Order: sequence, then C-alpha cells, then structure tokens
Amino acid sequence: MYLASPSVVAASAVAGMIALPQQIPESPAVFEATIPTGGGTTSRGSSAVAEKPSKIRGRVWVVRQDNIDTDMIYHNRYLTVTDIAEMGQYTLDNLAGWEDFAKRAKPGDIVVTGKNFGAGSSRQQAVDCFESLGIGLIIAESFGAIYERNAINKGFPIMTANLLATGLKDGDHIEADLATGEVATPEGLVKGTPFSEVQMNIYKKGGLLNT
Amino acid sequence: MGRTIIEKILGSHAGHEVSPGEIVDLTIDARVARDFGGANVVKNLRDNGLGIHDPAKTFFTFDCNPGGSDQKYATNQQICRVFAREHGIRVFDIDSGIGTHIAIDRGLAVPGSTLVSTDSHANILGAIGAFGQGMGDVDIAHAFAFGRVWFKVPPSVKVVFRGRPAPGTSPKDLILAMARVVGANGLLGYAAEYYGAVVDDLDLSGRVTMASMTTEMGGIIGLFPPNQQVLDYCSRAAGRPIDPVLADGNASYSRIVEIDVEALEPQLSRPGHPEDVVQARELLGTKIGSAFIGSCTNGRFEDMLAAAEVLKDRKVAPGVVLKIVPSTDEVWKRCLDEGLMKIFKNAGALVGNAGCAGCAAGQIGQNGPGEVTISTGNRNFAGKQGKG
Repeated sequence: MYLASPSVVAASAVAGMIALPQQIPESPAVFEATIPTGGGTTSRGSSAVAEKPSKIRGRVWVVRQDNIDTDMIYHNRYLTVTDIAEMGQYTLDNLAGWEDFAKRAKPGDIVVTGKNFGAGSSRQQAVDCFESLGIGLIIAESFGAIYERNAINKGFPIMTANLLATGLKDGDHIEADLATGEVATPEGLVKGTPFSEVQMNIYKKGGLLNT
Repeated sequence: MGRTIIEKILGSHAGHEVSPGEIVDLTIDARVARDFGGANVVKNLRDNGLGIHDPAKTFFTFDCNPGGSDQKYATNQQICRVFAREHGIRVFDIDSGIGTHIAIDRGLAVPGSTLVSTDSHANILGAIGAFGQGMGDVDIAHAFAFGRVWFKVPPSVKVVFRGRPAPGTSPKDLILAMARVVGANGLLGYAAEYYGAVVDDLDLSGRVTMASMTTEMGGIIGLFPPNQQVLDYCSRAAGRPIDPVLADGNASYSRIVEIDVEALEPQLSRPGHPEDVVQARELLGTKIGSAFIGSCTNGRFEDMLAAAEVLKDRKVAPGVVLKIVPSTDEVWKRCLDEGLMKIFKNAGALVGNAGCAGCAAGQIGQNGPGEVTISTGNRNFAGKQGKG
C-alpha cells in the first residue's frame, strides 16, 4: 500500500495507476486479461477420486428438529473461514443442545434430521463443515433448496427419507443404499428417495467441479 | 528557564512545574475509550470494582467499526453501551465518526487540555496544541476511575520547516518529507513542536494530517502552536474563549530539526514502511487496483474537497475501486450539502460511513493479497489494511 495526499490518490484512482492531478492521462490503465477465454479446465486437470461407496453404513445422531437453518449449522461469524479443515469444529455450535456436536461426532457418523434441513443462506460452509468432520451421510425428511444443491454439487452424500417417524435413536447403526433409497434401520427398512442420476454422477466423480 | 509547550501543558495538569524525564501525576480532561479496547476498559473496571471519576469527562467513541458489521466489534460496542448507560457516560455511537476528530470538533479537547484514548493516534490533538495520548486499556481504565494517569515528561524537539513547497503539494507531502528525513524512530520518546512559515499558515485540517503522522516517526506528540483560525474554531467548539499554550522564547529543546521543503513536490510512501518516502514522480505509471481516501490523517472536509476537485467530471478507472470515507458524520453531511457526494458517486466511488475505515481492520478499506492500493492513510505496514 502506497501513502499519498488526497489529490494524488484521487488522480491515481482516475488514471488506474500512480498519477499526479495535473498529469492524468487521457485513457486510464486497465488490467488486461491473461488467461484464454472459453471457460472449462485451464491447468489443474482432474484429480483422482477414490471409488465412492453406493452403500453407506454408520452410527447415527438423531437431530429431532425441523427447519434447522444455516446459521444454526454454521454461524455467520465463521463465514470468513476458507479452509475446510478448520470448519468442522464449528458444526452445529449455534443449535441449542448440539453445541458440542463437533467434539462428539466421529468420522463415518450419519446425521438424521427432519424437514427443511439447511434452510436459509447459501453458505457452502454449512455443507463443508460436515465434510470437515468426516460425517458420512446426512438423511433428512427434506432439505432447504440451496442447501440440497450445495451438498449435491460438493459430492457430499445427502439423502431424503423420513427416519424420524421410526424409533431411531442416537448410537443406532443404519445402512443407506444411495442407488435404491432404501435405509436399513434397527426398526426395519425405510424407503427413501434414491440418488438421481445427476446426484450419483457428481457424487461418484467427487464434486461438480472435479472434471 | 523557559518552557516548551508540552512542559507547560503537563505542568498545568500536574499542578507544578515539570522537567523532561520527570514522572508526574497528570489530570486528564477527557478520558476516552473506543470500540477497540473499550470492552477491555469496562472489564478492567468491573473486575477491579472501580467506578467512574467524572462521567461528564468520560466518553466512548465507536469509530473502528462504525458499520457494526463485525460481530466481535458489535459485542464490544454493546458492552460499552450498557456500561455507559449504567454510569451516565456519553457514547458517540457508530453513527458519529472518528473519536479524536469529534474531540476537536465538539470541544472535548481544546488547546492546552489533556485527553487519553485507546487510539494510538490520539496524539492527533497536537494539531490544536492540546495533549493527546493513546494508551492501553489498563491505563484508560485508570483514567476512567481516577481522572488521572502517570506520565513521563518527554523532552522536546523543535522542527522547523524551511521554504515553500511547489504548488499542488499538500500537508501530507510535508509530513511524508519529514518522515523521509527523520525515519521511523527519529522522534522516539520526544514531543515535537512544528514551526516555519508554511506551518503557521496551515489550516486545522492540514495540522491534523501532520500531527497524526507524528506517531509514524515514534513521536509522543507533534504540537502546533495554534493560529487565530484554530483558536476561533476551538473556542466555537467549546463555547468559551480559549487561550493558546505557547512555548517560551527561551524554551530548551533537546534537538532542532530543520526540514527543507523549498519547491517540495508530491511525495509517496512505498508499501511496507511509512517513512520509505520517494518523490511521487519516480513511480508514475505504477498500476494500482484500489484507492482509499479517508482516515484520521486525511478524512476532513478539506481533504474531501481536494479529492473532489480532481474527481469532478471524471471517472474512476475500470477495474479500480475507489473507497472514500469521511472522518466524521459532520464531514459526511457537509460533503452532501456542498455537492461533493454527487461528484464522488458520479466518479464511481464507494462512500462509507464516517469512521476509521480500513485502519484497525475496521470497515471499508481492506485489501486482499497482492492488491496494490494507494491510500491517504498514515500506515502501510504489511497487513495493516488487509493482506495487500
């Protein structure tokens, strides 16, 4: 950062480069694009993705509540965090009764909840924080529209099924078949919504942007 | 023996004559905490069971984050508000602007008076020939509770500006030129007094600019003997006639520094160190990504006017963001009344709430890694206004 007087700063803003008020050029300096247009993959290319299981088994956390919004999942005070590894610790810390979820959850655990999970903002972190903790799957009766897309596009497995109607409790083990939508619970088989073709493709390749 | 300005002000507030190096118990006329540090001041007071010595001389000024956009700041602001209500302390809230400027404009500080605040640029009050000092939250809590602080009387340096700058230079260029000469610690531990024909003629705004950057040379404070315009301004602000405190003719200085500003051209401080100053013409054509006009150094109406004169009927370059933040809400309103806001907006500038803007990681003015910014601020340490 350079320091200068108000008139020199104003002149530089107009010129797009350091300039004096009495010598502002006719046309301003502009940033020139350096990467070819057309979008798509530029340099990184695709990264190898381990084979994704089509059946996910794990221990459940039953969050018996509807309309859990993104501020409860991942509060806006953490929105500047960009490193997924840092996000897990804040998961659900603004949801009454679940403040210590991040400490109690283990990789591979499954979260089961009610209607409209992930209502509210568009923050991707509300998905990423679960990925950060290693959560294997989220099953809700329904998801907030943006949240659902965010999870699908991330390649993070979420499934729609009504498990709260069963007697499922914390610590039970279930197995979900992403292709058929069937969830095996200690209470019996529950039929949920199978992954769509789009969701399955994105899930298998490890995310929408992984080309 | 004659006395310097600082010796006279500190003497009158210690109740006895003082000498450099002496530690004195100093009465503080205005005790201020900001949204930065203020919550810690409150905590110190509460934890130690301390009350408020004189609520009428105690103030909170919320200027670091006037948008209240950061939840940590919002929390601290609310802690201060609740405490202020309990004790009947006045709060200049997030709609007010920079505390030190408000202190001048509202007469909380007048020539010869003393003020402390949790603001390292509180010595900006040297602009009106008053003593101002930034302090930590323990010190400020003590001032809140007892109305006084201990202070070591600094030795004085007389700085004389010789010559007349070239047309088109500003007070910022004078102080940048001085920083180049004396360096980052050239005034360390000293109170400076500024003299010379070019200084005598400076308006209040110019004095504020120069006084604020005394900190960047390590100075305790840079004091300007008030001219008639400054005295009139401060008398109006205080609602009573104010006499200046001036140095005696035979005052004793540790050092006399002469700064030659004859034909001085616009100066530019290069990224990283405020005192790394070159002639602006040496760097003409350096591409920038953003520009910032404001801060306690250059956020007054005259600064806005200087910017508006350049921006009138012009547009900010494509891809460049120009951020403008007036120092106080009064300046903001005057910019609106006198048509400057229209000029700024027509040029494509972003205009923020009055306040400290990017400094202290506040509201507008932050930049990202690699972003090249040109700013009217007072510091350009790496990371000072973001990562750029």
